Amino acid sequence: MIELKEVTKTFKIKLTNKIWFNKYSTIKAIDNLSLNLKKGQIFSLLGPNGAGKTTLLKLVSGLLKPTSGSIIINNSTIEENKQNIGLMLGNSMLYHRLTGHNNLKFFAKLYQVKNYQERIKELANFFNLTKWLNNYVETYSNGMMSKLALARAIIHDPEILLLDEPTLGLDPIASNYVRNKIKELNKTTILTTHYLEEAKKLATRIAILDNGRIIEVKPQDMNKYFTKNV
Amino acid sequence: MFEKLIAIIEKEIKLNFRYKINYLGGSITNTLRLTILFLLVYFGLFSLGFEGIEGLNPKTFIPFILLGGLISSFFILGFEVFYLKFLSEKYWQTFQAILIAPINKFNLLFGIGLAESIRLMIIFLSITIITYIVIPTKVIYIFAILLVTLLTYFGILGAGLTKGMITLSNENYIFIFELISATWIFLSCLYYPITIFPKAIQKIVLLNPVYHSVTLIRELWSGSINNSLWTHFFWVLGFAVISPLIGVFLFNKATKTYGIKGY
Repeated sequence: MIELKEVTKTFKIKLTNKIWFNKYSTIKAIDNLSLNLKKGQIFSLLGPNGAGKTTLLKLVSGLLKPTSGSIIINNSTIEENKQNIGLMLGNSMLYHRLTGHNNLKFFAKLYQVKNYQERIKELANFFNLTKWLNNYVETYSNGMMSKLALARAIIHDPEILLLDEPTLGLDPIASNYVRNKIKELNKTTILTTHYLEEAKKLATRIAILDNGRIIEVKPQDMNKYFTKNV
Repeated sequence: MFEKLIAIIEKEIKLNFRYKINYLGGSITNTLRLTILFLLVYFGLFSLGFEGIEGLNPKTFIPFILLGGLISSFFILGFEVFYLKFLSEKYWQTFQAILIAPINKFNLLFGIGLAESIRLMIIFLSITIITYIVIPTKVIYIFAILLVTLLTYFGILGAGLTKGMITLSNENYIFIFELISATWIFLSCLYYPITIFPKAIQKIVLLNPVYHSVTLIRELWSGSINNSLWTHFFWVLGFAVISPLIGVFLFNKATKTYGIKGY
């Protein structure tokens, strides 16, 4: 379903802290990464800050172009699969100056969701947001924003879900709630997280991303791996 | 067919109206700034005893300046609207959400552009009513002027989208677009007649569709219907068609090549 073939993404970084005439170097955020993800799998990526987790999601969503290599989704390009991809980058990608309802309505229309009012109602119930839907997002708590951001990402019922730290900054109850909902969605998912427990709870496959390289670990071997390597 | 376009218009209007008093109140500030300045300059010159300045006289200079102010306002709005919107949306990361959605960029161009209709109408009505009080004209000409100003606005949106594109991919070069817009306005003869320029510059001005637009609406207002109207009109029409095509082409190319940077 999702196939990454020898994908590399490099970025230019500043080595000096001057206003003019800085020295630059290139870093490999993703280094020759190959990955094959089958339908229905939840692939969890763990890794330290700056490991390249978000970059990977941006590459798969089409927001970034790989420096080399290719990404194939359903045997075609990302461009042809825009309708099949849902992306959530933390609790952002929301219009804080619009109500929750208007956020969902706008994206539902962009994806040409039929009976979008029904879909919004359904998602509001699913995420327990009905009471807050007509309030501006700027008044939401972090947990509510995360729920709305997830609802926005799945408004068009995509086959593929790309989630970047969906529970970051949430209290344990809200985190648990969002995790359960992700599990219930039952979609082909790439999920980045810092939480080992989250990866173990949700994922069918787990990998560690470090310095742009990926090391896949069996879920049952996670504790052993971390005791040995961290 | 127009569902996505309407969705963008609706969303933009709601965002604009989040702080509606400021939004509506600020509609005519740009128009007032330069229009009042030039009205005062011309008024001062005529009070000093000048009888005519490059074809303008104490009676005709007011509609001349006001209609120039009308195009100037549409120009500034069309040129700046994407820059201002994209700058916010880049940091909210909502633009990233739009980019990965299946959307034709013409919807984006006309959606954001048309969402400013309320402001455009406030400007248009304020200026035409004042101009009508000074020198009345036929109502049919006012509708023709509305059409011309809208076509000009669509053309400018194309250029504005290119500035918006730079906002997304490299903020370092926004200043180039500031220079372009300043030069463009300077060569559009919005507040002075073309004859103040040397012959060489006049030739450049004649290649500027915004000059043709402002000249056309001035001639329409004064009722001087002649063959040159069609020349001006075809310049404006060509601009309204070609500029959005170029704007969308460049936008697609830049977002695919450089992506969004600086957030």
